[in-house]
Amino acid sequence: MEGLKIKSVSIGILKNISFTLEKGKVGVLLGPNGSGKTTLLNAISGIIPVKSGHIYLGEREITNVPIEERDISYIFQNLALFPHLTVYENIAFPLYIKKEENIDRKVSEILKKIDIFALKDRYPLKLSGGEKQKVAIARALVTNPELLLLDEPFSSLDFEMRKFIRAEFLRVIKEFSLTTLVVTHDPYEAEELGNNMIKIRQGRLVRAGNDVNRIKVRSLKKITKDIALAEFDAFSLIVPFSSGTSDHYCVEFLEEDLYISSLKPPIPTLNTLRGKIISHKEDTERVHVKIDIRGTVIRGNIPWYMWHEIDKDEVYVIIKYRGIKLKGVEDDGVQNTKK
Amino acid sequence: MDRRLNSLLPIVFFLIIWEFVGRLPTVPEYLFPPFSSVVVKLFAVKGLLLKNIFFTLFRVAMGLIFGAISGIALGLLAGINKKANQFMTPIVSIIYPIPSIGWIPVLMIWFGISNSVPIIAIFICSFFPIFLNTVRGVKDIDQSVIYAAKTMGTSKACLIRKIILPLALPNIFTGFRLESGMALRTGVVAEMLAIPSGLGYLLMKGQSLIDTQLIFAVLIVMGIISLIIDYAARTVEVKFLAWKD
Repeated sequence: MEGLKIKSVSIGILKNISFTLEKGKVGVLLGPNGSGKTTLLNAISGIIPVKSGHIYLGEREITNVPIEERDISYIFQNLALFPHLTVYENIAFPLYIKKEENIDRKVSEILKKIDIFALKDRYPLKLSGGEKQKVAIARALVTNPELLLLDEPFSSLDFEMRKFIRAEFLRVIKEFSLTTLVVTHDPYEAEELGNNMIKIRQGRLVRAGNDVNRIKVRSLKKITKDIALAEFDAFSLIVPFSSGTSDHYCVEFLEEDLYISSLKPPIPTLNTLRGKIISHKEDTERVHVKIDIRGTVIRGNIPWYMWHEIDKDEVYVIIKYRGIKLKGVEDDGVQNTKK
Repeated sequence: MDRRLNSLLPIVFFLIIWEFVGRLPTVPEYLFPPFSSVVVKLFAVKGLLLKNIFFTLFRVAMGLIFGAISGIALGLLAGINKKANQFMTPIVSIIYPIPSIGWIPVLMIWFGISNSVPIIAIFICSFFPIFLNTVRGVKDIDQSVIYAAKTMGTSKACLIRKIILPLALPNIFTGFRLESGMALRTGVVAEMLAIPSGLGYLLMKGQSLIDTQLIFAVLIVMGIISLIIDYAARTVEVKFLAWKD
């Protein structure tokens, strides 16, 4: 079931953007600064009108619906808490606007759920960065909106706090089963947040979804109950699940899940494949390459500062274990997701 | 306690010097009365003073209230609406630099000897800074806060009442506090020129009777009123802007 559908949207730098986000899923909008991520969120929320295209929220087209009537919660990069209202009043505000009943009960519930009940009488200017994040999340969730938008919400936090708040956020989002679209320019953060990745670069959609690279594996050897080992090109591929009805598997992973180097690992390493670069294209941040691995072509990217160290005729591709999805290939060609 | 004592000591010292100079045989009392005789005079004419304090405060309050209400209302409109701002700002920029007491002669021609003259002079004095500070206050509001409220379904009227006005208050208070002192001064000048009542009138009466004791008594009262107005404005500001500290 569709939660959010963007169809051929053009606005400002953005050109012909289309993607669909399933209801209740977390989508991650990834791209470098200035690529148009915030513009897209602003268009979805109704802050700026779209030049062409359509935006659907479930079955409802909201392209020209006024901002006040879209039923979207938006957590801005600076969180946009109301500084003159206490934590309690900030969270109660959207309920008051929607003239909902039992405001006190609903606010108290979410305050307890997000563990900020003790802060309810404090003003935002007297809160720490992490506490403000929690208040913003509570305020966004209290009305149970149809869609939650977040614009780099963790960017102002230090590393440790970011990790903690992100985990808290994912826990709460899962509990509420909200359709959520998060903007980030940090690939590692994107990886943490979810694998429904929508990548834009210079206003264009680079990729929506998560099934770019596929490698077919003939057989898997069980090494433990849960981990399988596949022989592949003298190196080994470790995948999360071993059981299945087929001997033929398709291993999927994202571009972001690869580490590409010309240095041969000192010992045979799991999840490492050998190949050669058959084409490359440079942009401002990285070099996008196509790598031929025994006839299978995969796509990856290399930071520009490492490009000069790469020997195009022999590269080693290391796939992050947690980025791997394994699909069994049935006789009729239908793939079963194992992870 | 120490801090209070520290600020009181220079005042006591100043009053002693005043008393001493006033009692010098070379200084005639009708030109520079000692502090003690001013205090005696103050109590002697307290009925007259209280009556005229009331007149002055009434005019200051009326002028300030009208100035503040219209300054805030039009300031909000100009802050929110670009076209209104483009229309109003050039007019305000031309009129604002004119000293408000400069309007008194023409106000006397238009309204004669009446309460309207000081009230309108105070209105002119307070309207422009409150208007400009309100515009600035609205423009300084973080746009994402406005958008956040809008995504919650806030109507325009509610947005102004619940978000824009409270967030513009720090700037509005700055304008209000600066102008409340100025309003008293403008009111007194208008009374000196145009009205036979109020503290300004008493000052002129003291001058015509060469009653320097009365003049100094009125000046002391004006100083105390200014302090009280400033204190009241600060207290209201602290109450409304508790979220800022």
